[in-house]
Amino acid sequence: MTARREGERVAAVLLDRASFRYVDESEREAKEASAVPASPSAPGEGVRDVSLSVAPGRCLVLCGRSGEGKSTVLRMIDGLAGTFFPGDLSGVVEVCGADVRRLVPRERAERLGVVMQDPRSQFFMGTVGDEIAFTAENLGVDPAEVARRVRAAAEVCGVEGLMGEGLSALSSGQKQRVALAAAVACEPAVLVLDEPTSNLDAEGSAALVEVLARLKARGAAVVVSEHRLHRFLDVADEYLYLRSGRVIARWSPAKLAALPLEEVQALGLRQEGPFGGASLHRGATETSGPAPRSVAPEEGEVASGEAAAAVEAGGGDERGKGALADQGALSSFEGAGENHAHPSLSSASGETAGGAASSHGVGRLAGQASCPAAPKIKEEGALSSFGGAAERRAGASLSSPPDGGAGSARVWRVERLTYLHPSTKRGVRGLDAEFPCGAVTVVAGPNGVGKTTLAKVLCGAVREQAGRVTFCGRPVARRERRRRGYFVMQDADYQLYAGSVADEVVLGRRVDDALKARAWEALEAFDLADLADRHPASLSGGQKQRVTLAAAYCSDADLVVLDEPTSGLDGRGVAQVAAWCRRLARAGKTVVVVTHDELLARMAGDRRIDLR
Amino acid sequence: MRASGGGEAGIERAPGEAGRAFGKVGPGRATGTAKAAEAAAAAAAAAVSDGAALGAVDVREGVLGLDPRTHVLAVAAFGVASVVLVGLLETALLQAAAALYLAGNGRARLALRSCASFAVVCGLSFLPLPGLYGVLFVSLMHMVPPFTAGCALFSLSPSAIMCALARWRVPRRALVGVCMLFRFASALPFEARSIVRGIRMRGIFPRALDAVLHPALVYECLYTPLVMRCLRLSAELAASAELRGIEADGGRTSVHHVGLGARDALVAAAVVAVCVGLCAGEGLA
Repeated sequence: MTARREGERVAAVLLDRASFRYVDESEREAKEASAVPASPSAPGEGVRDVSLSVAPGRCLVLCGRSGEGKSTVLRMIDGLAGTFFPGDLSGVVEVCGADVRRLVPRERAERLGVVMQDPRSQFFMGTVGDEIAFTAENLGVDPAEVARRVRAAAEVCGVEGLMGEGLSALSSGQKQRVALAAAVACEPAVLVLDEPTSNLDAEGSAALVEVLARLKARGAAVVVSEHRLHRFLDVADEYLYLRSGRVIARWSPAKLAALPLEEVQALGLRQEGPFGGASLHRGATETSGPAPRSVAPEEGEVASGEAAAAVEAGGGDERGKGALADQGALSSFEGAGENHAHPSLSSASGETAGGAASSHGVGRLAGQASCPAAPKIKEEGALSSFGGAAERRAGASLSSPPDGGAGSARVWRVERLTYLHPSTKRGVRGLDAEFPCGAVTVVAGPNGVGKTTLAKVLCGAVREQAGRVTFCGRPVARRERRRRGYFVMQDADYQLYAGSVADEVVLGRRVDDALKARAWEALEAFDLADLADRHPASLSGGQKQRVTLAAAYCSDADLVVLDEPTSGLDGRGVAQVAAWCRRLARAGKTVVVVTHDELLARMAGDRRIDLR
Repeated sequence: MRASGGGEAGIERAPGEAGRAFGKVGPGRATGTAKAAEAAAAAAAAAVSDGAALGAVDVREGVLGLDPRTHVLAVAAFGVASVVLVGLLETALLQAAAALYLAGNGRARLALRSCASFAVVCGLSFLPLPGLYGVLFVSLMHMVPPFTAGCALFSLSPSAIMCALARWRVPRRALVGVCMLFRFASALPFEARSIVRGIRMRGIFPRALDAVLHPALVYECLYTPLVMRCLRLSAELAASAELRGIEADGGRTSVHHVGLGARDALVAAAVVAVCVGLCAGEGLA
């Protein structure tokens, strides 16, 4: 068996030519009735011939586009594939030397710690302490020992100060930590995490990676499915790329960091940029490593003089080159950047704390993120320098939004805006900001700083406690803002109600010929015409999101706000969302994107407002 | 019995701290818990109960610090009495007793609110409504006392309730059901609020009047996404429960107090006595 052992140690996780194909109950019954042997799995329906081995104290990161089999591999490892999720499982799947299919529930809970993508889906108790204790209590562990384990896990994951807090009151980053603490409380030999950083900002991700490093040091084997690959450079030992349910490539962290941008794009991976949480340490140390590093960009590819200056201020030549290469590289994603001399994904590694971030006023270091009450703001008009369009690199500004024309004088403003949540006293205070029509304004900042609060006030979801919201200098009442605003929530399931996609985009409005024409235009614009008769609930996540955006496009709203639209999306998905945002802006709408996804911010944004 | 039975070694929570076994402030509580652990360990060395050491963490909830099974008994007693009693005065006295019971378990405000609810429903029952509507409010009024006592049960940690039910040899499937019930009870309001917010943010009902004028659309907008969310949540929760050992063989433990003691017997006797007394009094009258 090829992957049976790694060195002298038994692998904590071993998959050898493991395949899984999802089947629904009706198919299974029909198959059993006719006694027909299982057919080979079709691409996209599962995974095939996956072989991997993770030794104790090692970390494997699964990557690939959405829907290519990452979660299925995790389900094979945690034993849900073939049991909870019906299907045909073949090949070897072992956890700690035992076939995972033969593990009794107790053994599985003892050996495996699992963190799902949405922590809310795995919480059962009311408080943090109870939640962390849940698994150990299920296993009948003595309460004294449970208490010890809970305290230890909470300390490792940095939630020891939240033990009595209700889970519903926590931020998404805190919930992620609690989920991790609950998973490690029983000191499992294998830790399985499904996109753990999708809801975390850079600081939260760095903290998570730190926790994983500690767990690795204790001997836990870690398997992670992730899109934001650079964040794990410090802790990963191997990256495994899946496509159509098959393992296509394996990289060491150094090799992944050195992948040429063209290859990264072709693979559909996210290209994390200068702010993306890539490790300065790892990137710096790898400069002299064996993997090819970034190459200095060609003339004319330097994004802006500010960036160049900032890179220099950031200190190192290598980093400077990296930053420049990366900016040129990103521009190519939207098609405006042309030939790059093999700009490397690794170029992003070096600048996290370096100059590129500070050059755009977003160089807030991770340690400053815990200032929630009165966010400071920094607006940047030059964000489009990352966006790729050469003409926007000169620096868009309020007075000259990129699309120019009629939209230039039409600006939404918040003036001295204050809204603090009654319970937490967190929110925004004394905020001034501007959102021009026909442009995409990115509102960025760490978790819990008040980004969504600002968006809600802007849309009229909540009433400002002080200050005002104006349009073209005229105050706009909350009711009018609600009429003119459209808020796209992070989870599209909350905003789809009708029986078909076509009905969805015109829901709640009097349908006439003009609206019908506009609806079809919206469906065409967002590539939904073929799905017009489908029920929205039957669509994939990305399709649902497109429906909500098409409804926004079709609506009378001239202010469209998107709340964290790219959590859980791969590189291609982020590029699509960015394109949709730009499409809405071109239609003359004021587009506001609330996100801590730096990649989206750079790809979609004309302007940037950084809360801190 | 493996779980915590050492009442004296346990921590009693202040009213309003229900569900906070590990304390609001980690370090401070942790110290307290550690002391409790030491005390329990010492107690365990001195005395062995059912062949297992005493639990180090044994958090009692509310002033009375009762076992969940005592609450189940109380709910049953108030429920039976509420069905048996017919007179308004006796039912009101039963409600008062149930509220006292709830307040004794650290939920004084909730007890007051339940009394207010009882008063409102009682008032509505006097309205001259046609047909069965009058009966409806009378029936509701009789449901309030057991519901009030039930609040004491549901204010406990699900961990304690599941552990107590496991000791009663309640089937594992039922335990999973209890676990899911608690989870959904807290998740549904959040989901519903999110959907309402989504409707507002899409501007489907710009004015409240629009919602009144289109009840079918309101139903569609609320019902469809809520069902979809619940289906998704239930599937994910079930998967998570399986991975977290909810089906593991052997007894379940809890860091919360689970164990019948003298105070449980006293309170149960008092509750039964009150219920029997009211029923007997009404019968005699």
